[in-house]
Amino acid sequence: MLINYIESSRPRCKVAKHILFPKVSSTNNYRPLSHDVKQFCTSTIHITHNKHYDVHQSTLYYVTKDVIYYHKNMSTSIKSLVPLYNYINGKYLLLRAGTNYESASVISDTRYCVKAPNGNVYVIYVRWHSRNKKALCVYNLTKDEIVHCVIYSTNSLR
Amino acid sequence: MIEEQPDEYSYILVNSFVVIYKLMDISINIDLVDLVAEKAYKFSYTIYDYLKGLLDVVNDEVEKNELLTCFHQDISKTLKLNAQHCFGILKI
Repeated sequence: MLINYIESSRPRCKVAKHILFPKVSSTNNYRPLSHDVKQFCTSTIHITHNKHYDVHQSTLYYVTKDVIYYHKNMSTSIKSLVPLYNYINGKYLLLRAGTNYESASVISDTRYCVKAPNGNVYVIYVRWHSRNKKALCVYNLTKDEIVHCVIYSTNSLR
Repeated sequence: MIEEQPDEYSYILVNSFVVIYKLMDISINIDLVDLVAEKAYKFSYTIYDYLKGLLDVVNDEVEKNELLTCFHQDISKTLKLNAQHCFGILKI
């Protein structure tokens, strides 16, 4: 180990003095940015967006293993994002949700997803079915259609 | 009533199946969703039969003891008071 340590060159790195914080618009300095945070698997995904422009301008980033991954400005909200986590490289594949998933009755932040052997991506989430009922749904994101739903009412224990 | 975290009522099995639990008063309903075929299969058990079936399958002593604990208690009371704990077992 000692020989290896001597032979290997020292990594060239230095402490960062500044970290660039994502900025939505340079022309709109007087409006505060909104900051949405959501924990997915091992990372926290951040979206900053301007309330004035709402969904039109936003910046998305997340941190994994001391590295900040930026995504290009996305006209989206955190609810309409479906993260697919790659356990090998520790990165997310961020997908746009379909219209069925984005319905108003979906309870936000209640989802997880999986890529099946047939290549399709499926999202499992909870949504309101009626006032006293909720439904747990399996949704095919690739085809934008609901595969199966189980309805829970006040009569069921859980 | 279902809470808002789907992983408390379901889990993904080898990227191909989604198992969804639904507890009723005396029974447990299990929906097995085959993602590849996009078909759902429904199963319904009494809680006693379900736990008994699990006992026959499980080999680990710790898990067996956990299941036996559920047996010795009033099952419906256990599920109401400690449903989260029992769900952890039922995911075996």
